[in-house]
Amino acid sequence: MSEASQQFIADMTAAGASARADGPRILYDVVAVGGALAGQTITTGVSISEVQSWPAVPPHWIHLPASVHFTETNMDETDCAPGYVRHSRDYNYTDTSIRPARAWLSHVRGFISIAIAEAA
Amino acid sequence: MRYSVAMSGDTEAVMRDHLLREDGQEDVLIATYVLSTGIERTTAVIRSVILPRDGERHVHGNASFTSAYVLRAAHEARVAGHGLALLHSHPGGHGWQRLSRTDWETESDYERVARSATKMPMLGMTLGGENIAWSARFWFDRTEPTWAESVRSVSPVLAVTWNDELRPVPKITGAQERTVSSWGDRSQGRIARLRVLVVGAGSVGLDVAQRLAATGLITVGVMDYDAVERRNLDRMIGATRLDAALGRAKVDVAARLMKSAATADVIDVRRHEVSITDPVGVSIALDYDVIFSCVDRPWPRAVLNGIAYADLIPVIDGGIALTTFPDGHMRNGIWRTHTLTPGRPCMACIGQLVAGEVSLDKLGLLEDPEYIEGAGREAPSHQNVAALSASVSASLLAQFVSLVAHPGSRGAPAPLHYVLSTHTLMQSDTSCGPYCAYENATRTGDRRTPIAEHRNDWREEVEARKAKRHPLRLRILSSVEYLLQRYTNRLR
Repeated sequence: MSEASQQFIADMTAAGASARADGPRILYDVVAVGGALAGQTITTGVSISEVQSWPAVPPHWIHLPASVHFTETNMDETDCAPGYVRHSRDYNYTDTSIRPARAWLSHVRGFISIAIAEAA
Repeated sequence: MRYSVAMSGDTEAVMRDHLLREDGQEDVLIATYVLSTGIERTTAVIRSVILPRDGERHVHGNASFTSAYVLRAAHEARVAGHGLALLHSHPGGHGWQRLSRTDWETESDYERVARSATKMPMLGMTLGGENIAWSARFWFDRTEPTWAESVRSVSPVLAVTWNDELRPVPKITGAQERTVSSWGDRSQGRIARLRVLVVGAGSVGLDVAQRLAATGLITVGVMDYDAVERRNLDRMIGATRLDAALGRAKVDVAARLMKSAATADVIDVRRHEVSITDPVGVSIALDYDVIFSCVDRPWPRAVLNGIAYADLIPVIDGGIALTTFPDGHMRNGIWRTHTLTPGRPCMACIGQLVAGEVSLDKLGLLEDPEYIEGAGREAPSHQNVAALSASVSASLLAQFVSLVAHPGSRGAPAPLHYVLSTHTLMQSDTSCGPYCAYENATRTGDRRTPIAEHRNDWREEVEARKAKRHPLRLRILSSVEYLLQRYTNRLR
């Protein structure tokens, strides 16, 4: 694993989201703070190929269980674990007074908090 | 291979303050370095300064190291994975300093210690105190040093000491009379020797490249893998209908125009038909002393943002954004320029590089209509006006002059932006945050964050262009134009 990938794992773990490599992706757990999944622990992740320039360049796609839905999203299954899809989500992080891993976690939490309830 | 040394202005100040004593005696110092490896040039980037402890050096007119000092520093360098640099001062020295027999023997004696501890060549440096001139040499073995070509101190003030034997002062020509009368022959000699790379040969880059040639620089590179199209002709001043019809490489057009504009007796125009987002483009960039970033996409700008700090090569970046009202009238225009060096904020910290956009650009999604629709984004606008491109290139070149000629001794300014609608020029007081990944990677050299990636798409584009056959009438026109250009450029 590249130095940047190891750094991403270390930074996420230090930020409170214990991260581990899993094939072509890195997984970590996040507790949803709002929306349809509020209070639930969600295992999410990123493609390892997307953290090769971490922390200068953050990842883009967010891996989530296929059971998590959004009103508007681009998604595919590249690098995803079985039962997962990854969602494209613009990330406009510019504040370098915040640790990059903390900023990324806030972004992911924000995204998960707008998940909608699965249609019956 | 050429060799050079680079240090940040802060590091240079620490070393200078130690080496130039109030009592006027010589002194010695040890530092560590990392390598920054280009295609033709290897640079030792000074990484850290190891000040002597009490009793670790002798100051007695001719200062000397103790073995304890060298061994301690060699151990620290080895643990950090750095190379070792031994420095001494000649307080009354002026210009590039040569080695006395004693200095030669001292450095030669310690070469084996340094190389066996660090597995890297030992670097020797001398500071001439009379006019703050640095000189440097690499010891690959103990028999003879290999002299560096230049030593640069990088901050908003770029100060380069040249080894006149390896990079002689170019002759001042009659065409440079007005230029030299503006900043003097010494500045002309220093500036003309800088190797400057222009990345992006569009409207702004093409203008910048020609003006560098007209200023008398003897080595100017231009990097772009794109070709001239008809739609470029409203902005690329000097590009012709024939360039567009033949789909000529932008670097070829730039080279032609630079040779026409050159005032030096001989100009070395380097054409790099490659992408700066590829490792080969990065290696080429590391051969230069100053880089102009005339690109508008996030990924290439991120790569250049990284080089500015990791490899201590000042990058002068800028751009323009135009907005229109729904009825199509112009609403506003903003152009921004900024010089990226230690001591000035990086593009990410002044909001000119959104890190998340770099990922999108790498993935090819920034201009993907399907992605844009799915994400609910606005399609990027590409409005530009030739009359305003000149404002960007003028501001970039003013930053260059401030950086290298330092009028008022103040160097490059803080980031500037001009608002066309209100006619307001503003200076930003932003600085990099404590977690800026770019500034925190300052002086890392070859250990820089790898932002560039090997890709085939631009290579295929270049190959397809080279393989394309053009109609006979265009080829005849091209040959006639080439001959005319060649003979015109020989006129004195």
